[in-house]
Amino acid sequence: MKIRKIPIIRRELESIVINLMALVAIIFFIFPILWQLLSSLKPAAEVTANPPIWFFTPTLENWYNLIFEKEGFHYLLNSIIVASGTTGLSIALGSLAALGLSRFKFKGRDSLALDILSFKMFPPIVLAIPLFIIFQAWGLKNSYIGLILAHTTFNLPFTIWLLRGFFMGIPNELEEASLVDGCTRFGFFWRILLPLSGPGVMVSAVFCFILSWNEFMLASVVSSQETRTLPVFSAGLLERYVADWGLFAAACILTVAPMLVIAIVSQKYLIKGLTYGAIKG
Amino acid sequence: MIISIYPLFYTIFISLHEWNYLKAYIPPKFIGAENYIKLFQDPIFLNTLYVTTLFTVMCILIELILGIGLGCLLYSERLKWKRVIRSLILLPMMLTPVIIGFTWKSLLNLKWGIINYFLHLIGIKGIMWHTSLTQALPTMVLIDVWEWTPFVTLIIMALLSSLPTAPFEAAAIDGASKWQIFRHITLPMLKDGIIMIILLRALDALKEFDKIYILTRGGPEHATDVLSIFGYRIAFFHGYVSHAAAASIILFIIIMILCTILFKLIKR
Repeated sequence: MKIRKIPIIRRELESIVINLMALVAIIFFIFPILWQLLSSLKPAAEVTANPPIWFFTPTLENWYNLIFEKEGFHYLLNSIIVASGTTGLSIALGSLAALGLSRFKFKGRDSLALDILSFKMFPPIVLAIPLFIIFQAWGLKNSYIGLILAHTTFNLPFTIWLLRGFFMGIPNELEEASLVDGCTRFGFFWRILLPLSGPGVMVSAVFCFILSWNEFMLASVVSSQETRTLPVFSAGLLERYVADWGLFAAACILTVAPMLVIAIVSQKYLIKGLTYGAIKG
Repeated sequence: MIISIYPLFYTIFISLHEWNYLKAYIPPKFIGAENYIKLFQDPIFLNTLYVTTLFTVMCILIELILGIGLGCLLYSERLKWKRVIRSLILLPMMLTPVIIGFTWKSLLNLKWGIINYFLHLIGIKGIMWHTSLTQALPTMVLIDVWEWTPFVTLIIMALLSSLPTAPFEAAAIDGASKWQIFRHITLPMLKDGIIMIILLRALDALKEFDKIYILTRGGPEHATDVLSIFGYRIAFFHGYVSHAAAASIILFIIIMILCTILFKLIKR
């Protein structure tokens, strides 16, 4: 008996250590967000208190200031318009391109698909300079359309790549059968291919939305006061209201809250998309 | 396709001209490769290349080590609440990079930042973080590690779950220790996945802009001046669009080389 007992105790100890280490890791990754949320609910004087104040009476002062006086709501709306527009446009164009790259056979098809993916790797600064000049000339600089087009440039390649992978997974027999039954090519795409690739479309849409929402450099270059998105608005706050840290905290939470919701709700899709390239290869 | 390619050619076109956007009355003049030659004679630009490389290498190294450790830890079947932990750990990389910059700027504040307060409790004083010449770049690496280690962890976990179980069982029966199993079985099997992670992270880290822009704008004294920050400053503050275009083309070439290697791996 004695001989068996020692390993059991050791096993127990190991389990405790594993769980403790995981707990420490989680605290490290989550704490900054939680602290920012607490700060946004503190009265102005207590945000910058040293030593920090852990227990306080929550107030909505910062949130009132952000939403009503600084028009935070207007920028939230801008962000929603731009991110939704980008997602819609990317999925519409991306699914058609993916259709071409997965259903039609032509020479160099696979390497063309990889070439398209390489545009995902574009550093935004390469796009920012020409887009700034081009949009200025075309009068698109201060419009939603300009911003949506700019965001589509870097979202489209990844969308095509993801959707193509999903379209390839749908057997050719289905297409032949539907054509025999008198369905048009577009009918097949619309009625059969898209509904069957539902999860793939979801993965792409979630990614487009997040990437567009979080984008900063292009948005700061091609937007004006009117069309500014939340990240640009937040960065602007830092310049104008130098020490209002409670206000910054509220702006931070307002900007990331939708992302947190999306991350938790669509966790399954996110992990699928994130690990897609690595696991396939 | 056209939306993506057109800007690239336009950038190359501008990079071969002399053009200051703020002096628009002077028309662009073709000067060939002179912008590139000037860049490589500019000590600030050379420093930029050095800083970018250092940042990328440090980020990848630390993220890989932490990510592999954490991935193995979270994969362990003895861990409780796996699902909850996995969704919590996903959060940092979903956040807006600008906001991450903001958040850390207030956490690291010298007068009242909570991190210095914690360090003060355990007796460490006087860390200047992003305001110090020598600590600025490590601080940026720390923040990037916070943001992207979960990504490495997730991929490692996905890779681990796709491995066959037979070799592990055989090794355990043969009496191999945990470390031996990890060193001689797990790591070699993860090799391809790890190379993929290195490339993906390198492609991203080379483009780093948002967090550094919010925290230091490349300062103090160019200590965190990465390529994207350099290009942005030259183009949109000083107006030397052509100069910045040349710098961004150089970044683009570096990235495309890494990209080609990555694609060779995907195809294999």
